[in-house]
Order: sequence, then structure tokens, then C-alpha cells
Amino acid sequence: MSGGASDIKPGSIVPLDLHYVIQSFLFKEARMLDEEQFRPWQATLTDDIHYWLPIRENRFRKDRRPEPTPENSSSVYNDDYTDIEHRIMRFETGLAWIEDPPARVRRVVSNIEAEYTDDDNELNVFSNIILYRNRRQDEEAWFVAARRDRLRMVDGQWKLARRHIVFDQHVVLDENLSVFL
Amino acid sequence: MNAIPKFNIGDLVRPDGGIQDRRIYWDEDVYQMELERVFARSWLFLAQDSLIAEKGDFLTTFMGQDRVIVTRGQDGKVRAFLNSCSHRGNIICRADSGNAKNFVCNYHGWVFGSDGRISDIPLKDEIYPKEFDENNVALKQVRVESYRGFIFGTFDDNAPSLTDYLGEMAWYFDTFMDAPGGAELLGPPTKVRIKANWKFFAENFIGDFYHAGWTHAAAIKTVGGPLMALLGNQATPQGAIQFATKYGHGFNAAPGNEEVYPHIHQGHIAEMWEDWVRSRVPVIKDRLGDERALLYNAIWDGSMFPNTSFLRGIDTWKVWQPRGPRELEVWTWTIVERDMPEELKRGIRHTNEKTFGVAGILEGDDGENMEGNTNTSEGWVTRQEPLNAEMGLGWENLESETFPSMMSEPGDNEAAQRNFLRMWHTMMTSENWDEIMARRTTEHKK
Ligand code: FES
Ligand SMILES: [Fe+2]
Repeated sequence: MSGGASDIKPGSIVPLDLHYVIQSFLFKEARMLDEEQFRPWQATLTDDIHYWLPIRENRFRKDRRPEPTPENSSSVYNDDYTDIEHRIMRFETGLAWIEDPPARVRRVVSNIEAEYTDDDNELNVFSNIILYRNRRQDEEAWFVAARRDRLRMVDGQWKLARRHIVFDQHVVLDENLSVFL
Repeated sequence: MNAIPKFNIGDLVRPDGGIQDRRIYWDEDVYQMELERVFARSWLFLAQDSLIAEKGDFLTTFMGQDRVIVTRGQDGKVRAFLNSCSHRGNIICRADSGNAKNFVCNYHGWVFGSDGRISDIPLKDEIYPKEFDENNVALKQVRVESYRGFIFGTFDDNAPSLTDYLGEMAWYFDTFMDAPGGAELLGPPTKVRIKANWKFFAENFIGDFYHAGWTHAAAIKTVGGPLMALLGNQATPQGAIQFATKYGHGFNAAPGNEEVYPHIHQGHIAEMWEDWVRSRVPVIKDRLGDERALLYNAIWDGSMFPNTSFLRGIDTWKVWQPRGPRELEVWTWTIVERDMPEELKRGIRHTNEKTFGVAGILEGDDGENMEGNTNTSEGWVTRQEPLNAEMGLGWENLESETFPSMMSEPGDNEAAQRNFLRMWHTMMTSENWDEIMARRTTEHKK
């Protein structure tokens, strides 16, 4: 990895220059999605991407059931590369009436932390996102989430290999969640 | 009846169901009357055995807008009761699901058992008179019955049994619920709030094949396969039939879907699903006969009156929880057969979430239509204009020697919607279940 000496401890934060690169990656990603540049965005995903947004039930703190996993619980997104490809294809058909006229969508990304992992080619990256969606005359939605990302260096480029979205609504409060967070 | 309507409720739906006054999808008085006459008297979906499998398992849900706790007691029996404290009214349980022997109110600590009765009142002997009778403050019970592991409740003791209420629908449900091992739901449900009247969704699922090729054109073009024939409503689904039952339930079925499944599911899950269906058809044929073997291999969309819907093929199970006349919550589970391999169950869940979940590539298309159907009625003039559901009028109620209920062809039809609306109309204008039963016996075949 770029500047990755093997004595770097997993969990320690990356130096400023690498942090800047990672921050730019996330900002650019947000802008590409805001601007519906889905194909360039898709090029920043690894082939084995797992894009996951699980349901967060209201459970009592003393509840001993295991944390939800993609296998044992329900999700809004539990996508691999093909699933994401389908979502983009659907958009590109020109027949997705709810996207036409287009919505106005803006993402604000913050609270970025990047940490080394036990893999020299991968980083754990944490960030928060606020997504504002405004549709039609006056339909408004605010979505807030944390993201637990795994970034991987592939052929000299950072790519998103895993995104676990911790979404802060139980009942999704606006019609659908058909936006990438 | 509490509401004083500014109209005669019986005039809002034409007797054949084909024309509706828009106020049934908009008006607050109509809605309050619906809560009383439809939701408080119908059998409503509560849970499914596997969602509360162990003693003490509970979930909280809604019957209309009434909050209820559904729980399996230490005796293994499922009970349901209001989730509102009989002391000062507080919500008793604020978790969506879990395991508990008791439910303790946060306000003053009254403790209710899994039967909804008081098991403790703090300081009771010191602060309540001797005559105070705990039996008077037990939580209101829901009448609970289940059909093949699917648990329903009603607040009306005079309603027919659940099996009678399902009527002919039970015969159709058996196609997959009475498959060896039975059916089960995978939860927890995903939930999304939509600003639309709940009936538009129930009607959409009960019989609206017609919208699939148009509303869902983008998703159909994306998945490809035989469904492409429907794209842009160029053709009606081949061989499709529509069914409508006595108490308002109904569905469409388009048979012969080995060709469609591989395009709905992905990769090896598609193969597993095909293998599963192929191996099951002879079993179903043996157990339930030719008709249901045919239906087993069909794509379905259906609703159970009033607010439960399902699909087969994409295996979704939904409840339209009303939140006023102009808003609802869509709750979605995945339905699978219990004997399926775990990997196939997970694959089916994934397909359901990808297509009919909160970010589903089909689901999203429906929500906006339903909102538009609803909120245009804010215009006073618009609200005076009737809505139309006359598709296939006069071609329904075909005699059938093989199927127990009324059927209609072609599959693009609004017969099931009309039947749903007539059931709604009957409930809204009947004083009690005796009257509803008597009227439906003669009216539903007209
Ligand atoms: S309101 Fe529940 S204990 Fe008083
Ligand atoms: Fe639809």
C-alpha cells in the first residue's frame, strides 16, 4: 500500500496526506452520485463490493439476540456488484418514471476517519452522511447515516470494497430509499 | 357510529363497484368510520408462527391504528392485547420484538403478564381500596386465530371464524401454505411511510396486472425475459386468471413461470428456485390436485381484505398499516417455504428486498402513483370527479368447475378490485356481522 510499512498497527489513524486522499475520494463519490454520474461511480467499486443497509429494529438493551447480519435479518440494501448494476440499468432505461423529472439530491459527508487494517492494501473508513432529497414541487426528505467502509487499493486506485450503512430511521419516512448513501 | 358524514356513505361506491367517489380515499370522516366498521371488525394479520417461535417471544404491531402486543405465552399459546396501559393509557411496550414474560408500563410500573392481565401493581395494598378489582384493568384482548401458522386477530367476537372469513381464499392459500412443511415469514419487516390512502395499495395488489407493464417498465426492461412481453402494456399476460372471493379477498395468477423465475432471481439462486419448483410441483399435485399444482407454478399478486397483500414468484408479504386517510406505513416480510434450503430462503429474501423492499426497483414505482391518486383529491372540484374501475365489467364471475371462487378473464381486469370495494361498501353500511354475512352471500356473486 502507498506508504504502508508492515509495522503499522491496525486501527491506527492514517497520516494527513493519506487522509486527504481518502477524504477527496468520499467527496468526489458524493458529487458523482449527486450528479447522477452512476457509471463513473460504479468504476470506484471493487468487483466483490458488498453494499449493505440493514433494518434497525427497536430492541430492548437487554435483548441478547445477536446483531443483525445480512444472513439472519432484513435489509434495505444487501447488494453485490450485479445488484448495483441492475439499479443503474433501471435508471438508464429512461422508463423510470419516478426519476423523471429528476429529483434534486445533495449529499454532505463529514466525520471522516481512516484507519489502517491488518491488510496492507485496505483501510477502514468511517464517515457520516446527510442526504437531502427534494422532489417535484415540494417533497422533502432528510436521510442521515453513518458509513463503515472498507477501501482497497486496486491498481493504484482506491476502491470501495464494502459499505455498511448505519441508517438512522426505523420507519423510512419518505416513500422510498432509492438513493445511494 | 361517531362520525357525522356530510354524505350518505352508501352512495360513495356504485353497487357494482365500478365507480367510486374520491372521498373514500380522502375524507377524515370516512376514515374514522373505516377504523370502526372495517378495521375493528375484520380479521387482520398479526404475525406468523416463526416470527414468535419461542415461549415469551413477542412483537408489537397495529390493528388499524390500535397498537397491540402479540406474544407466545409460557403455555405456548399466542395471545394479543392492546398495547395501551389500562391505568393512564401509556404505551406499554416500545420494542418492536423480543422475549419477555411480563410487560411493564414505564409510567407507574404496572406489570402485565403474557395474557394481558395484571401480574403486579406497585404498592397496591397500601394505595388502592380493598374493592379494587384487578380484573377490571386487564388489557383488552384480541380474538386470535391462525391459519396454517399465519396468525390473525379481530376485535369482533361476532365475526365468523378466521377459516370462514378466508373462505375460498384458504383453498388458494393452501397451494403454498399447505405444501409439506408449510410456509413461513422472514422478518423483521421493513417499514416505509407513504402519503397515500391504504386502499389504493390493497387494490393495486389484489388485481392490477394492468399496471405492471407500464408502471414497472424500467424494472421489467432491466430484468428482461418473458416479462418483456408486457413492456409498455403491449400485451396482456398470457393465460392469466383473476379470482375474487366472498369476503373481498382476491388475486391474479399467471401460470407457467419456470421461464420467468430465472429472470427475477439471480445466478445460482435462480437455478435453486427452478429446481425447487420443479421438484415440488408433483408433490403439490399429489397432495392438492392439478389446479393447485398449476397455481403453485404461477406468478401471483393478491390481497386479503382489508390490508394484507402478497406476491408469489417474488415472495413478498405486506401489510398496509393505515395512518390516517392520506398516509400509511408499508410493512414488508419475505414469504418462503419452511422446507427450502437456507440458502434458497436467503436468496428469495434478497430478491424480495431488491424488488419490493424500501429501495426496491419495483416498489418505488408504485409509491408515487398511490400518492398521486390520493393527494389530487385536495382539490375540491377534483374531489367531485368519480374514479373508474370498469375494466372487464360484465366479463367476470365466470362459472368454474375447478376453482371454488368466482373467476374472471383476461387477467387484466378490475373484477377483484370491484369485489374488494363491494366488500368494503358492505362493511361500511352494515350494522353487524350477521348482516355482513347475509349480504355477502347474495351480493358477492352479482
Ligand atoms: S399509566 Fe401505566 S402504570 Fe400508570
Ligand atoms: Fe406495482
